[in-house]
Amino acid sequence: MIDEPMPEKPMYDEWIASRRAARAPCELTDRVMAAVEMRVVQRKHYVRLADRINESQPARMTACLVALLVGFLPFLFVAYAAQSFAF
Amino acid sequence: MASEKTSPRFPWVALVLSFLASGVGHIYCGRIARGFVLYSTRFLLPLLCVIAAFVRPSNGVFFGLILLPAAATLLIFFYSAIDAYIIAKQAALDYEMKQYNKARLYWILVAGQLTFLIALTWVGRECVYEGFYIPTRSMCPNILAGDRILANKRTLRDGYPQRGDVVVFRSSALQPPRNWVQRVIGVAGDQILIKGHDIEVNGQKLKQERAPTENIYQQQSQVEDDIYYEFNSGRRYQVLLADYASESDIDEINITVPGASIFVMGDNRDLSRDSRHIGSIQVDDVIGYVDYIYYPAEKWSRIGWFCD
Repeated sequence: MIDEPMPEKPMYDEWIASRRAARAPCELTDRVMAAVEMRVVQRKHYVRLADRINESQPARMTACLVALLVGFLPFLFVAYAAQSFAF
Repeated sequence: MASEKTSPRFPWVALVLSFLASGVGHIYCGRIARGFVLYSTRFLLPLLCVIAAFVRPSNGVFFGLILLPAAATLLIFFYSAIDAYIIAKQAALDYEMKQYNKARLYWILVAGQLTFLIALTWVGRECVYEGFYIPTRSMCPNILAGDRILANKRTLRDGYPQRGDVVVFRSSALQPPRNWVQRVIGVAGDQILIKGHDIEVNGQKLKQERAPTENIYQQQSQVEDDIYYEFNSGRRYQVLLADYASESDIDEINITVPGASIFVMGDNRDLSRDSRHIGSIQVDDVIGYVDYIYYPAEKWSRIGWFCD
């Protein structure tokens, strides 16, 4: 690209001023923001869920207890297979 | 300001992931090497219990390949959770996300470990070892009421039960139909003659010797009668014989064990319902051989290898 000064500077100033004064259409802004929001919701729902659980201590404790129960299932199954106790 | 590639590590998330699958909480916190080691141990340690069924039973095998791995697995489960929690708490708020910090990877690892452990337990129970609770005294003084035993199912494939073996079987002839533990006295084709406490196998009387009174099993509260050593085909084992007249309603038995069958008796001869009452047991009904007492009812010294 050749770096040359604009031959008619007043015309350029007028043009740049008009561009600066121009506002993005509201509709376009809304569409962009909605798309961004949708993208966040779709890709990070688990992060949002984690954030929600993180805000409440009972929710955190419940999540940990449920995980402990699920993680302990193999041990319970071994105890059952060994007839350590009857279900 | 944190960039897109940074995120705080929540300690409770690390705890949840570690509870679900050991090592995954560490991976969440960026400690992939430690996480991988912990994750792998949950696969390798249970496999040792399976290997135990393929080697000759002994106390060393029981403690080294069954009890120790089982205890270690439980310890690793809790250690992994606590360690991941501490690491996450110490992690900086702007933890830089690694390539492997993906929710999908965590779920794959969790599902993989849980599925493997449950499947291994299932296969192990069906094909390798099964535990049984003994509710009766029919095998006193060798197996007491309240004992929990491990029966080896794998060795069934090596051939038929031999005289002197202690087997677990399930026979519909016995009511209620449940699992029973008895000792093999005769195998297919054997001529068995029983008169009171005397047993003859193929015309040869089984030698019975009174055991010394200082015998350790005398200390068991469930042992009320006299202990004798019985010798059968080179095997020596203990039996309980009452001095008083036998309560058994069968005085004399003379049978030939049919093909693919075994003749079994309880070691507590006067308090056992066995082949004297229900006849021979089909070999197909045999579930496994008793290898270990993993939870004795009395005296922890009896834990381990079940040997006569």
